[in-house]
Amino acid sequence: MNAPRAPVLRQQPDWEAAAQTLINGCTALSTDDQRVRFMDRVCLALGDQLYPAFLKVLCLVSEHGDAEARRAVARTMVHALSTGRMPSGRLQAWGGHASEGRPGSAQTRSLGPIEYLCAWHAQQSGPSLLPAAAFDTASKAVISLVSTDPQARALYCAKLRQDIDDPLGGSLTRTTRAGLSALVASWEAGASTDEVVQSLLDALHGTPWGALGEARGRWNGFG
Amino acid sequence: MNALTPLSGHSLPTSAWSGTALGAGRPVSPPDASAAGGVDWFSASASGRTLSVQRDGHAPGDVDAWAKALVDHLLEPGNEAR
Repeated sequence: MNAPRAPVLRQQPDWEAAAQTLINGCTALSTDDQRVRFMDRVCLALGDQLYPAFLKVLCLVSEHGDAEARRAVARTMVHALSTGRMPSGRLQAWGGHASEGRPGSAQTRSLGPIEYLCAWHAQQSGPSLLPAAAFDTASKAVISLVSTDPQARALYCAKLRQDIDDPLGGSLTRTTRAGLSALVASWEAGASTDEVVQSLLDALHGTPWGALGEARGRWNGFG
Repeated sequence: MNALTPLSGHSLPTSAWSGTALGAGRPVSPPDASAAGGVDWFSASASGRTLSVQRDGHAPGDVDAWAKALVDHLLEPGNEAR
């Protein structure tokens, strides 16, 4: 039996055209359900390994979309969040190990854009961590896009609180959950995007006062 | 159903984040730069022009056509995961 082919990025993907198509689709499709299914289908076609491509498209919409374009995508996120269908990527659960040749053998969990970026940056879920500069760029762009719609922001914060309160889910370390908790507190308090991301980074890597920085990347047990 | 109600009109199903979201049941595949051709994911890659809503394209109800159009900008032809 032939293994399914992994999707392959073009040598020069047209990211801008993809972002434009996301905007147009989120505007042209007739119903909220269709718009969420549109995002779903895109992520399914990209597959798990290229879920970051979807995040990059979101970032481009955030950074280069005008107000109407950003609102169209953020409104789609509102419906996705309220129905539990936020396009998600799968990361290997913390402590889970895929056996060679048995890629489905490790415990995995779906993570939405913000928590996916956070886990990718802060914990050894895959072969390579997301570098700090890339994390800073991407997380600010995604948070800014979600913040376009106050309802999307509120729903996303509620979703993150559920993730934080569910340590048995196994995909987020205590340190990562502490980072997300700081992010939510700052975000709900109406802080700027820069401040929200900084609060998360302070919790992840420590502040001048110490805190959790030394715990980065280490498993500290449930809690 | 046990649900949070952060805003009127919308509720969050509490089971939504534990495997029922998109992609449940798909193989493990953590981010792997090598699998994606060593992509520097979040470096600048746009011309900088403003993206505005363009009201053209596919039929209003054709979800698959819209998804294909987007993915075709990114993937080698015939390489969709599904």
